Amino acid sequence: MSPAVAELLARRETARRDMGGAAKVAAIHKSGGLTARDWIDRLVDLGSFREIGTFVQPIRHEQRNGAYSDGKIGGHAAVDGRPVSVGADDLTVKAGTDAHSNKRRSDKIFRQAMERGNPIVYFGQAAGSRIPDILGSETMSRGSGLGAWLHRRRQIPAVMAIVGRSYGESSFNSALSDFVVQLRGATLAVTSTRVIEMATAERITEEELGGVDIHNDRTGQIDLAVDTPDQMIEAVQSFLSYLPTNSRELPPRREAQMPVPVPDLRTLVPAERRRGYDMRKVLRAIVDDGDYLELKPRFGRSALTVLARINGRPVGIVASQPMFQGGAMTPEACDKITRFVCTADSFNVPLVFLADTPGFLVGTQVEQNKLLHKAVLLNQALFNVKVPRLTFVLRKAYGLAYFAMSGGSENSALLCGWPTAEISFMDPEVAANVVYGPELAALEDEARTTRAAELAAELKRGTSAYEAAAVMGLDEIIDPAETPVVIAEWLERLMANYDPINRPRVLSTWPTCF
Amino acid sequence: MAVEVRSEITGNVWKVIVANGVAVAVGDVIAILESMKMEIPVEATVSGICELRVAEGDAIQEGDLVAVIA
Repeated sequence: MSPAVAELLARRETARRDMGGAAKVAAIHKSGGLTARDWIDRLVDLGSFREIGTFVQPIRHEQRNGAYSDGKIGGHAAVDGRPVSVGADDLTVKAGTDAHSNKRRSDKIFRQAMERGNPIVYFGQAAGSRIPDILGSETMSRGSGLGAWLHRRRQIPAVMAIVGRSYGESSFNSALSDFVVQLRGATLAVTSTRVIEMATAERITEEELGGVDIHNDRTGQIDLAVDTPDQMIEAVQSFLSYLPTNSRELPPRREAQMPVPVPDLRTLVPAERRRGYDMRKVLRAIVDDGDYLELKPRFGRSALTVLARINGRPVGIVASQPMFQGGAMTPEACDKITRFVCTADSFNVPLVFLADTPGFLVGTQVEQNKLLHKAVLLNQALFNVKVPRLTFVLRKAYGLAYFAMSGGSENSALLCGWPTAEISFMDPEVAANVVYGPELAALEDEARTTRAAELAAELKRGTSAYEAAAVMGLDEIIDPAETPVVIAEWLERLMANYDPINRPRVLSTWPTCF
Repeated sequence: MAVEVRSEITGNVWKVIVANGVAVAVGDVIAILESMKMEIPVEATVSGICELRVAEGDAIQEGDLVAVIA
């Protein structure tokens, strides 16, 4: 072996083994943590990782100290036999901070992923921009902005796994991703607690600032929270399994298993209209193996957004969740559905809607949370969906929320009602009070209650599925037990001529966050 | 082993359906909660003897214990 080759091999081995220093790697392992390379190894198929930029070092010579890596690792690999590009922030060098050369490395890997047309997965824990490198007008002017991910138009699936304290590019790229998972204990924010305290004197813990519970329950800026590294890897692999390698391909279909009617569906939705239930039971009865991946499970909880398979084919299901707020639509639920619909439409995943919503939540709080804009944004998104879409009205479908759940005869390839469907502008009980307000006001308490119930019952008769079907407002009224069969047959029919390449792509250019 | 049945929602206990100390099967409704004018059943997740931890009229928070089944 020539000395030059021997040197290369030695340098490569050291770089990949010791990263920013053997002691630092050992310290991470001793604390029970995973290094950037450990995360990548856990995700990808054994032996499939091909690194790009192994010899990148900090641009300041005095910071090199003989160690390789500049705080970010990456390359190309396979997950479940399919090509995937990967990257990770490396805490053994300058806390994984964003800097000149590692940014070039990460951006190059992203561009290579785009050229090949395969997903990118990143394990983010960047502590922010490297200081003092970034200070000064010259350095600030050298960059082009947020980085390569800003240019994505959902041509390839992008996944951000937040695995540590993320304040830098990893945070920005999470907002540009299709799927964001955060590990318990990790932080996702723009500004660190230390900088916040110095700037404003606000004292706050990292958990309060950007811990999993904050994002999972309140901001909705992540799609899933996980408790362990194993759950993280499982979540990322599961998400990728539902999506195509890029937006010009169809999602990978598993072995077809044509559904049979499910008699349980006739009783899962209670006939009593005040009775709530867990829509996840309906989902489990409809999808293959009762298995699905739920996104944003604790945000906008009156609606569910899940990835699943029916007859082996990936589908995106949007469902009301009458267990929370009676299934009433909220601004948060709208945002959640809008984002989900954009992802599904961009990656050729057909959509199924299951509606049981009493309407939009009303009141000052939702109005101030921009109900108006969020509801219209969702309707705009639905208007621009070009993947096949099937809509089922299970029970209630009232007002603007009916359209927000994809109702209305213009929206879906197929619009079906269950016999329990009731459709109207306003819930009959509310409508009775609005329409007959003066008449009811003139009555005594008990008489008023009785009369209001009579009037509501009268109005309720006009909301039936048969009235809608009579004017072709529903394509068909189906036996609930047949629902999975109808979905499978219609997806078969609609996907047969679906062209993932030559089709309008409005939603793939929509923002990834709003 | 005792299994805890917790509320997934915040609301009030509207009706308790099973008596304390009786046997329940998976899917049996233990109690019905009320929230936002909707009735939300809480069901047994396993079969066994049901020990109630709520009474009708109680206010209940998400994550609160409704019953223990042993």
